[in-house]
Amino acid sequence: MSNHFEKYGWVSFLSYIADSRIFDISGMNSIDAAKHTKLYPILVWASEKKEKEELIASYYERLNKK
Amino acid sequence: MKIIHDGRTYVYPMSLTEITLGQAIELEDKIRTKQEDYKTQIDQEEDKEQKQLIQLQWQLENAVDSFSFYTGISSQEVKSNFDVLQIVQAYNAAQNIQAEESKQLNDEKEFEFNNELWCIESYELTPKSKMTFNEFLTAKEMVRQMQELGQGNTNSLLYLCCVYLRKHDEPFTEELIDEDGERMELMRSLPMNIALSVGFFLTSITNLYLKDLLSLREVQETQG
Repeated sequence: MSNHFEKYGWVSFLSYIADSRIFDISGMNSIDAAKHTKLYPILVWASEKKEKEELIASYYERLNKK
Repeated sequence: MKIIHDGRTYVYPMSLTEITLGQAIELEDKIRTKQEDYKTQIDQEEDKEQKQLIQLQWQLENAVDSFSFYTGISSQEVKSNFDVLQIVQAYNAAQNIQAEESKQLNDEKEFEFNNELWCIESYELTPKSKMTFNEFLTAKEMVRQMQELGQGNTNSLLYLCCVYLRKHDEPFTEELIDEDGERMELMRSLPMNIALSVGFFLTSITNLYLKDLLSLREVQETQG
């Protein structure tokens, strides 16, 4: 994963945001829509999503251990 | 600094205000291979005296290359026909002045350049922040690619100035980073005191971003 991120850098993050389609704008493709969106809401959304995914992963890990 | 030789006057820049970003990039590109060779020699040399000799030789080459670049006189002619001690003294004096000027750079956001007022937009990351994802992404990706290609930091600074140093209320567009575009050409003529101020400001803002946001923390860990 880290090798992938090293190679593709921030473009990888752009595709992650675009894939979510959360920031889609009518008349634009998802990539352009993500680019035109303000930075602040994107970073806050991505931070919250990451934290949520970590919490869920941690929950299932504890379930599997039981 | 003016140097008179054989009836001709040559000007050697001392201050950051006298050197353009384009000149700094050209000089860096010109001497990059030599710098890397000297660094390797010093790292590999175990004998302390030999190491010092190599460092002195490196300093001399730097002084000659710098003088040659800014005056237009070939390195060969500089070494043959000029008082090399005078060249080294001028080079060291310039380096000291520029180092002092760099220390005095503060987080200034407005600059007068090319008879216009330029500013680094306020990039505090708040809900009111105007910066788009494209602007942030473009700058980060360009710097990453420059580093991957082995381009110097000064080259990266050119692109960062194109993205972040704009006329008041001018929006970001991708034309600003067009390599053959007017903006890139104009930024090459930016005096180094302004270019370094932009770099200084962006460094402090970037550190702020990386500290506060979880989504960027992974990037920081990955990129070291």
